[in-house]
Amino acid sequence: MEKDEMIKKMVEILADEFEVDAETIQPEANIKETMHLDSLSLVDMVALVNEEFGVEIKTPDLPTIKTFTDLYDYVFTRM
Amino acid sequence: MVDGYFFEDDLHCRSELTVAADNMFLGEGGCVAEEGLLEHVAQTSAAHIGHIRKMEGQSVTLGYIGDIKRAVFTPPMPAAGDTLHTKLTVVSQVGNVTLVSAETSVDARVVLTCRMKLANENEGDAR
Repeated sequence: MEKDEMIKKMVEILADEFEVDAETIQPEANIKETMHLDSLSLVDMVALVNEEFGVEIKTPDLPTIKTFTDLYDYVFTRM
Repeated sequence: MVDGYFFEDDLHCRSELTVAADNMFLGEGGCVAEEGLLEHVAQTSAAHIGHIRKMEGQSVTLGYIGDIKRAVFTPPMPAAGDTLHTKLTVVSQVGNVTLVSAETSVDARVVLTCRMKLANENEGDAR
């Protein structure tokens, strides 16, 4: 899967799961603010990425994933 | 709401409950209410999380149901004397929040599937 393809799919599934407008998911936007994540819904994002891309986001790595670009890079380099 | 707990690995376990005649979740029609099945899943999850914490030498802390998603109930609901069999899978865990998926059946008929989040107190949290 190409990176662009992965990003497109990621935007779709995140927008659907967290019921936000896909346009709000911009590369440099803050993930928690954009998708209104708290500690409970953060688990959903981790589960979604694992189930859709087979990539496990490790808990210690989570603080380093602030923007969507951080997320894309983290996932793409581990696919 | 759990009679038997069977550890498989860190991500999987099974549990059982034979519904007693005086089970507090029995409704008017003599069947277990939906919230009773959810409590059974929650206690199965708590048993699993607690078991793993004990294996890791940690104390067992109080857990709370964070949220419940995709709960599908398939009547008829279990009655007194029925035995619930639940298969639980840990989907993901972040910090002290655990997301599980569960499938509960009676006589091989699925009566509940759901996802549930459990939030466990951290050690030393004031109560």
